[in-house]
Amino acid sequence: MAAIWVTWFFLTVAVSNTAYSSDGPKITECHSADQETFTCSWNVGNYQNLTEHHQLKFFYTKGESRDWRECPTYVNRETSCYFNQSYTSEMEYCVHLKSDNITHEQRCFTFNDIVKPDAPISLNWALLNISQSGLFMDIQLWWEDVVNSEPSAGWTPRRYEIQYKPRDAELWQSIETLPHQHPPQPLYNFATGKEYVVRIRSTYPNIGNFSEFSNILKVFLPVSQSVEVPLERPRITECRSPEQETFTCRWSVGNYQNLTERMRLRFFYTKGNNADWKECPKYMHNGSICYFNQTYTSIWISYCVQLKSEIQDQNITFDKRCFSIDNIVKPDPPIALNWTLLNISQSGLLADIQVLWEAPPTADIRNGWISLKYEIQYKASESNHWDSIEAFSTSHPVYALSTGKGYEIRLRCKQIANGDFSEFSDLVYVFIPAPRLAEESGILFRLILVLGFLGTALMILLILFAKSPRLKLFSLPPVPVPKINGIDTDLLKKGKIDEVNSIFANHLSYKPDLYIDDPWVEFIDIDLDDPDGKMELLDTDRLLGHDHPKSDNCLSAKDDDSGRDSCYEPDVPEDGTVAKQNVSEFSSLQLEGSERKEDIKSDTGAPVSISGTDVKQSQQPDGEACKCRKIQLVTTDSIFSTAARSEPPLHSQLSNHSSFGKMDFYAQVSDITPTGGVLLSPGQQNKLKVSLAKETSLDPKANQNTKPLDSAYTSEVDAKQLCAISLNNKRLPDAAEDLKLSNYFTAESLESATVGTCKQTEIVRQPTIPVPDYTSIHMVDSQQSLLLNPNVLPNKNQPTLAGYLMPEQLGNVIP
Amino acid sequence: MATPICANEGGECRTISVSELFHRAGEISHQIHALSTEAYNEFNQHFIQGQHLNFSIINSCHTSSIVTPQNKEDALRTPHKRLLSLVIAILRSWQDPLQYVISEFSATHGNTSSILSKSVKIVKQMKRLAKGLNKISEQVGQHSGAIEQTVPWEQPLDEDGDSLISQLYNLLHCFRRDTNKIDTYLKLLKCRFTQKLKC
Repeated sequence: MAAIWVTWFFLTVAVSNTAYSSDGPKITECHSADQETFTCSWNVGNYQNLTEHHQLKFFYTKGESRDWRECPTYVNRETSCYFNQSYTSEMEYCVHLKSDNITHEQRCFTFNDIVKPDAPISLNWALLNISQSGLFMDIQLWWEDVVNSEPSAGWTPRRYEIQYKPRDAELWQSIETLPHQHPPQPLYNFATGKEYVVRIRSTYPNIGNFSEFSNILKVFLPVSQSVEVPLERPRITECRSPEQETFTCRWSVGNYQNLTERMRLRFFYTKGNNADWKECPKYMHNGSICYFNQTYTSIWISYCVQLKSEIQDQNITFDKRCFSIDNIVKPDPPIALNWTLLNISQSGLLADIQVLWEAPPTADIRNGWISLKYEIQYKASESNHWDSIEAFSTSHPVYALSTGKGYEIRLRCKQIANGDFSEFSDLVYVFIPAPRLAEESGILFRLILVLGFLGTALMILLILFAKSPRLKLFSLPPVPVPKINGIDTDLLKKGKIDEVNSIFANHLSYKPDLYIDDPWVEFIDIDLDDPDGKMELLDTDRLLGHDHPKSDNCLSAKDDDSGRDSCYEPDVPEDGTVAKQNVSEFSSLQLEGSERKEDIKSDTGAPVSISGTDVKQSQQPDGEACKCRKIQLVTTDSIFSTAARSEPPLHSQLSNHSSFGKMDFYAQVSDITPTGGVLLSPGQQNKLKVSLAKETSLDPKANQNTKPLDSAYTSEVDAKQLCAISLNNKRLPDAAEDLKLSNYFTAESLESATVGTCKQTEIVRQPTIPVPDYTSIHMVDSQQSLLLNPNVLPNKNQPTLAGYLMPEQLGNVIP
Repeated sequence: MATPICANEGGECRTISVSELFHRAGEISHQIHALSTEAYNEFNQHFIQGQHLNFSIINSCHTSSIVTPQNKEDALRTPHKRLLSLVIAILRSWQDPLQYVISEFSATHGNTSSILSKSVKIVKQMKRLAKGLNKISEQVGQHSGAIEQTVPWEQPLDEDGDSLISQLYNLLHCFRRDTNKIDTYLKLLKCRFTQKLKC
């Protein structure tokens, strides 16, 4: 029971509700199109009886007020209520729809929420450009905003949203224009041959809602047509005022076919804030120019002009433009061009002129209404490039025009502050005849130049090809070359050194170079008269008790001896007697030698040539004329061997040698001490032999005086030296006492092809090998010590190459 | 009609004629107009970037309430005192808006220092021009009471980016127009005071 009631109750309510909601009057919409007024609309619904018996009334409250006032203006057969500006001062409104006492609907809103502009109308499009292939194009979209019947103060800027898509596509592409943007709006990359649809809606920036969408515009361009003839839209080409008092506008008709057939273009303008479009006051030139005279022209006021037509009852705006008269001033060109000659240069080649003209007659310069500035352009008649000069008054000079040439001058002007340049005035032709004087002097000048040049050329040729040397000498003196008086350069070329030397010797400052720096041969100057002098002679003499030093041819010849090997007389030692001799000599010399080490000392390790007794001389085959001292280094082996054998033979040798008399110059140097002392061969051999006979270990580093093996090319001599040194240092204390034997050359061991260890070489020595009196010096190593080659005998038959310790062999020598 | 204006207080007085004053005033006003044109063009370049904005400006300039002659005949007919007072009034009306422009540009727009510097120069020149016009007024016999009322200008509130730009655009556009007006009026006046019979 109760359930039935409940159900019936609900049903009634529902029915009444639905009946109420569907049948009752409803407010459909409140909107404001222009932010100043608004309109509310409603419909009556299905209440038939209402409209008969009761009238729908519309009430509103605004702001805080609670008074319900009735609609001020019913419109549209009382289905809308219009509120004009006077009612729209508030932001909050409530409206309701009543009939009798029944409130059918009530609504409250904020004014800004109902702002909704009207949709744009009159959409149309124009072609901007087409791609080269003809497949893509850019278009311009034009539209209009609905203008209310009561235009308010100024036009409120709106923002637009343009949507477009190919007709068959699903999604719209959307572009929003920026505020204050006005048509046309370019749209890019439309495909030709395809149909597009475009629509647009507007909104006030940041206020209210978007309007409804406009009607749809179809955009389509057949592909073939796009390539053939580009469509030109009618457009306003130019609006200008020549004197800031009147102005004219021009437009082009374009080639829209339907236009030229049916329609004519109409020109409208608005002035200032007045939104009414007025038609052109005066059409001229067959309807493509509109002229505004003084009465219609006001400066410092915005004008907007439009080009419109009516096609199919639809106003289409083809072009629109806004400007202010003071910005579109383009004067008429200046008139009455003229020029006068100012002066001509001294050479007569250049001249200055003054250009005169008048301002355009239409521009009111006099009153100061317009101020103009001018531009003078001039060029030579045959040239293509115009030079320009700016001027602020009606005359101006032009400098540095060439005489005898034709010039063209033209002028144009513009308002100083803004606007465009006028068209160019008529040309004025300038020709300044060159004064005759200038021409003549020019010719003369050129003549003189040419003649002078020719004359100079002739002279030069004459001189060059003249036979007379005197003339040549006179005009082209030779360049002095370096030369020494009295010396014939031919001499030098032929190589007669002696002569050259004799010549040179005459010069006081000249001293023959004794080649002291030559490491090959080092001489110790012998002062024959000096008993304290050089060692060589004295030692020998002391040794042998000889009084007289031997003169030697080499001595005299020494002066002019260039140190070449001319004094070198390697002797073949035939037996060991020489060695013995040397040893004996050596021993006797030892003491003196030790004293004189310092005397003899030269550069470290440098061999010192000592001329001792001329022992070798006696044994030489003596093919040599020169009996010079020689550097004689005797191998240790030989020393030892000889020493081991016998002393007396040495002595006898020595004495034998000494009996030779003039042979006493030579003494065999058996060794050189590390301090530079020279050890003569006789006397030390025994001890050396004894000491060295012992096996010793090799200590290559023992002796610091040894020349370091710093080069690959180390001779065996060096190796021997090292061995000898080491041996000496370690095992030969005795020897060391008596004899500072540090350097022993084992020339013999050099010769031995088998390069064993140091020990080996020490022992390998064959005592029976005769010690050669002469040892050829094969080379000098980096330490300026001599590297001997004992078997290199002075005989020419003998090969001279031996005793090198090749780098490969070095490894065997030095463990 | 040259009253002496003393350059130094204690020194010799040198008279500057009215025509010379007008000449100088004309030069300054020409400078101001050139600067304002440059500032407007630069603003267009930077912020408007060639959009079709100039169509939609018709927000009126705040100085439009000052009624000025709009064409040559009207201007020639206007007495010089009135013309002068109009010029002074327009000048004064632009002081506040220009300060607003300067403050806006220095605060927000970093790369428009060129516009800012031009605006600063403009303000300086306008002060000089105002001084000069005051002197001219004295010489011309203009009483300060007859000067047109300066139009007050309210600083707009709450400007967001877009409306700020449109506001600044409007100001620069209107200012350019008004400087052209001032320049033209002063040239007319100069002609009147230098070549009385011919103008």
